Amino acid sequence: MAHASNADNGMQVTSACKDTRDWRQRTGAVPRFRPARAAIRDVATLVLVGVVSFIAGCAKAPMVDMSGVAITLAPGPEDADAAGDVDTVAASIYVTGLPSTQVAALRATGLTEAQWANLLRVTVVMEDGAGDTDLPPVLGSHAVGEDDSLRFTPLFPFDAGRSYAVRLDPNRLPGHDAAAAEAMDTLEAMVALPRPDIQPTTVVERIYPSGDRVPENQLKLYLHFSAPMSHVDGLAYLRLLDRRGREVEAPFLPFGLDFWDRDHLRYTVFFDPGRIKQGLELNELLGRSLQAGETYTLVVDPAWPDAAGNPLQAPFEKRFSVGPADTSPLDHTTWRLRVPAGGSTQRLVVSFPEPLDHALMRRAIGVETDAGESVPGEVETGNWETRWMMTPARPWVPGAYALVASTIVEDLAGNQIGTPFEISALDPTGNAVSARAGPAGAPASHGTLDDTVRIPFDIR
Amino acid sequence: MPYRTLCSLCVVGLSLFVLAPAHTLSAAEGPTLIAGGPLAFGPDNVLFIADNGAAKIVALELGAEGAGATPGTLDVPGIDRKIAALLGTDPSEIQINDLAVNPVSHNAFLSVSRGRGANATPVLLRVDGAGTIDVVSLSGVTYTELALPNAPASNPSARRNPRSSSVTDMSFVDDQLFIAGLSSEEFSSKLRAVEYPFASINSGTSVEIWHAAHGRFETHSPVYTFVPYEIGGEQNRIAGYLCTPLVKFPVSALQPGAKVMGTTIAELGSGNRPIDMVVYEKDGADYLLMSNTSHGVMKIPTSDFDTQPGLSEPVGGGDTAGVTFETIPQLTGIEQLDLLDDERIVVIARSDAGQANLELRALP
Repeated sequence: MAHASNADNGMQVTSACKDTRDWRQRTGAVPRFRPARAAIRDVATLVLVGVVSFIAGCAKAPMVDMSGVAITLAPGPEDADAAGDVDTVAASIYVTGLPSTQVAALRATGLTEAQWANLLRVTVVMEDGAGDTDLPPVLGSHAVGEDDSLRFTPLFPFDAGRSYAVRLDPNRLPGHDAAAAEAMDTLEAMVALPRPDIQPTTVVERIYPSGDRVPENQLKLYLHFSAPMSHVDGLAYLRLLDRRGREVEAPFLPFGLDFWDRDHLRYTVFFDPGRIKQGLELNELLGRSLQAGETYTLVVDPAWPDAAGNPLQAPFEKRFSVGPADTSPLDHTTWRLRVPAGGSTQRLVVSFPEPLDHALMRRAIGVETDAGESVPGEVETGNWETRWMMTPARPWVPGAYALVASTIVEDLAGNQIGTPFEISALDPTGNAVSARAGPAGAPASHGTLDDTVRIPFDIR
Repeated sequence: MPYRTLCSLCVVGLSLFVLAPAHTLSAAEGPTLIAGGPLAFGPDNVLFIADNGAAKIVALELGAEGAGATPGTLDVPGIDRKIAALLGTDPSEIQINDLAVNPVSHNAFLSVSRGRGANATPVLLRVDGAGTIDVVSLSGVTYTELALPNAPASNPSARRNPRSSSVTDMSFVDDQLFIAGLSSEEFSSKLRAVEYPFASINSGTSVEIWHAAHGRFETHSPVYTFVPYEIGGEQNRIAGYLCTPLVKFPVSALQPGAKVMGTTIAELGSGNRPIDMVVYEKDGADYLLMSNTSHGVMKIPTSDFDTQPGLSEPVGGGDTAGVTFETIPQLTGIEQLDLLDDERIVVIARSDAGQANLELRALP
């Protein structure tokens, strides 16, 4: 086995031969990238790591001179996009050093994709190392370059850090009569794009509710990350410990893949409603996940991969205590407004007697003029989500306004405006529930999208 | 007596929901998908694919891409490894999001994600009657798009483009595409209906459903799968909810502004998420076949769907109630399921060793 380094163009080559001889004695030195290509590519970002070997019969006399053949993985020189953005160019596998007569024959023949795949076959190396011999080759396109190289470009870009096996079978070259000639050696190589240095930078920035006390029937938690995360079930990276450090059994809704926001910056953890709701089987068997009077710690495993595949920079913990269950519907008549002065850009401040759900209070509370037009502004929440504040985009114009809240606004236990998370009212038939248990004047329907409550106020 | 069942009746609230105008496109480069999710076939070789990354539904007029070289579908053992090999990655990077059988070619179509991070790419695959797996080329495919409405927002400045919901299932019947979704902010369901072709209509119906437990408690729950089914001459939707009520509600009642009472006709057990449902006929009777994450595949006769009273009383001695069902012991590890023809289903079955196999199974 031999190792070589070609540091002047950023390319590294590691080679090996199952034969006792250095493979370079048979195939010649590894060809350098052409200077023109090196000039337009940041080759250092696409370092080649190749392991080239012969699989059998290395002593046989070849019919085709393969002494100068090399297999490399490199950025494509001709495929820059219209804007010339070379960063978007996918890496390709190149075979260089084939005799020009063979290359000319290849050009003239025009192989089918199936014939190409027999000549130059690229397969992925599975992480479990299982040697599936019947796995199909990687999908992609083959071509003969103007520089006489053979090129394989995958349909989907090669994964960084993943190994790919390349097999060149010269017996499949056009014009080669395999029946009449002695079989030639198959040239094999392992190539891989380098895995970027792992520099974990993503952290859990905050968790909502931001307070340190929640009701026993807390419905959900929001984890906000500093950078996009990968699309995985986050529950595998979360543990809930009681004050003695014992792990709480199955506290969360056990289906956690669907609860990412679009940007994968926020992950929602639902406590298992089957344990929250009174009378359900899980509630009967296990009780609620959280018990009043107890203290818990949510532990976030730093192995949770971000979108780049890197772990979190650090573990994260949030400690909180638990109070009694909250089964009352939200009552918007208890909300208090601090109204700013006309002509100012002071904040409108709304205070609530209890913390609200962070996502919903940001999304589903706003301000309208008496003409029904939304008033734009910057919304903040504060005081552990007991305060909603809006700084208007333009100075307040004196007049009549209303704070408008969708009835989907919830408290920490999922109780909505006028509707508790668990409804205990019965309809006249005794077997269905459609009435609200909320305050008089609340909308008759249950949290439908059009339902809002309005709290009028005047700007003077 | 301990209360062991989850629900009794469902109430269906209804409101008009304005969907964004559809765009009809026939671009040479084909549609752009961010995250391919559930699939549903419509008429004339049209395949609907939900893009949960872009909050839209794309209707692909598949044309020649609707059929591989061989009609039908053939078993593909280790399909996760084969897909990974074709796409040049590891099976751990492959996620099969949905399976749908083309009713014309009877090829199986798979909505797959390649990668789980920033480079995640949606891929549409087709498996034909020879077991050949092809990537469906979307370049040059004529398509229309329907933007799903934003989550309701009273404050337009707070989050200008809130995308907190994702589509869990779709079904096409009588010129309408029904779309079920869930939210990462509200523990509830949304059911939307929109006519197809999209270009002819720009509004739909939004339905919010919740269920009650033993006549005393009612709350929200996400719907994960549903099928259209006619009960007593009336079109209904049969919906499977998390943990796991089975609910019927008549489509005729789903009118804007109406309030509709849905009926929970079965309680199928806790700690479970329904995956897929199909309806089929065997020996003169109709059955609902329902796959689940924890409770296997259930065969449910539909004969009592009409007469089963809504569950309203506590159920003791077990966590199931309502219409009867049997669990099919031969169908285990089922992660995806769709009808192939009158006698068979196509499934993605995960073996004990963790391998995903595409298999044809006889309808039980």
